[in-house]
Amino acid sequence: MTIRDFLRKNKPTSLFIFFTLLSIIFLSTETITKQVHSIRVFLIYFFSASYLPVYKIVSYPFDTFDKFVQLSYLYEENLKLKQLVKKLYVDKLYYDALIEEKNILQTVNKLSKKTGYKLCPAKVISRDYKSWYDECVILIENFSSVTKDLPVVVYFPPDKFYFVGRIWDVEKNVAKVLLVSNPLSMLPVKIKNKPVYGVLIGESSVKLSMDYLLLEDDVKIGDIVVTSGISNIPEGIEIGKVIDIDISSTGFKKAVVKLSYNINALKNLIIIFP
Amino acid sequence: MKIKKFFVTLVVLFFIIIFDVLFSKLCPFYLRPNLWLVYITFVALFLNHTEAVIVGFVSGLIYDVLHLTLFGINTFLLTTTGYLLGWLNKHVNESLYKVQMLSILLSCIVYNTLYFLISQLFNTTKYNFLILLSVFSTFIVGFLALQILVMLYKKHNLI
Repeated sequence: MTIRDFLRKNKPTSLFIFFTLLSIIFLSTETITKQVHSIRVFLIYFFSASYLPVYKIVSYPFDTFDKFVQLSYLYEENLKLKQLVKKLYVDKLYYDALIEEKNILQTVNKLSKKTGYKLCPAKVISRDYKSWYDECVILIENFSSVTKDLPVVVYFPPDKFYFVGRIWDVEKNVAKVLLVSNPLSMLPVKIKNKPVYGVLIGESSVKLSMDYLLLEDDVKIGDIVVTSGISNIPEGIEIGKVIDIDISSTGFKKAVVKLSYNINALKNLIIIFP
Repeated sequence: MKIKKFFVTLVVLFFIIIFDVLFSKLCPFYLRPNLWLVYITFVALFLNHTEAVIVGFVSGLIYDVLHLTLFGINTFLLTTTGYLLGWLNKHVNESLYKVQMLSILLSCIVYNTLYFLISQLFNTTKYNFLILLSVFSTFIVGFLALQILVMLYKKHNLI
């Protein structure tokens, strides 16, 4: 009997031996080589046409049910995350405020060394709409040496200072500032680079009047008005520009002065210790 | 006739894949009926010995591809089960329900015994005795599936 005859007569046994050998090869190569993985990947690709759509269809209701069950957990997790986000947001605000404070302090220290004056940073914390152009409330960092009538300025980089007003009242680390635009503020001022002096009176607006100018005084539109250096306010701090000149009822010249800065946007101020 | 049988076999394999996926989602592994085993039993009883071996090999290969088991283990197990059950062909009266039930039970016993032996040989796979519970589900679902397969093949005059 030849091998071919044996195979014909025992077809199931021959096939069984062949397939068993094939299975054993698969089994042994699984642990020895990775080549069998490529066969597996190929076969998966071959079957995926029928397997994957079926798997997706069958999985859909189960996945939906799982999602529904997980809703309660998601809700709790969502609440926790919201709280975390709130906390992080507050932390971020606090961090930003600290950074800003640090920057302001650094700037003030630099300016203090540059100008030779002792400076103290302050932050506007309140402005009443009824007295918007009259006063504002500030929070002072180093409040121990702050007294009434100290000049308050606003700083614009790189080297611009504008006069804002004077300390009106102090209580602990909070002070009220009498703004230059307040009608009660009567500030001795002068025209920059000219021996022309007068009194700057507020009118509860961005426009102020420089009164008591002599008729022969050389005042022109566009002249810059600065602090005069009389009293405890340092000389030469810019306030505004002359935009109109008139004769007042008292017989003096009167100049209309417009503030050089935006008095509505006061935020960080500096107190000068002469 | 051969082509018809081939296409019917393909359709049956396709439906077994679908139900396999469905049962894998519905039941834990120890209650999942092994439909591949049922189909091999059907082929061994109602068709012929050679086809039982071939179907055993193909089913095992598909099972190994679709499930993350040790590749080749089910190919070997189902081929062997197909071959052993194939000896029943034309030696028993397959139309009797008792024979059908006993054949399914026998295939489960052969499959699990071989699985246990293989797991002793290869360290990479461990036999979980919980899987013996699947014999009951395979027995119940398998008997119903067998009747459907008999009806399908009879309808197409393949048996």
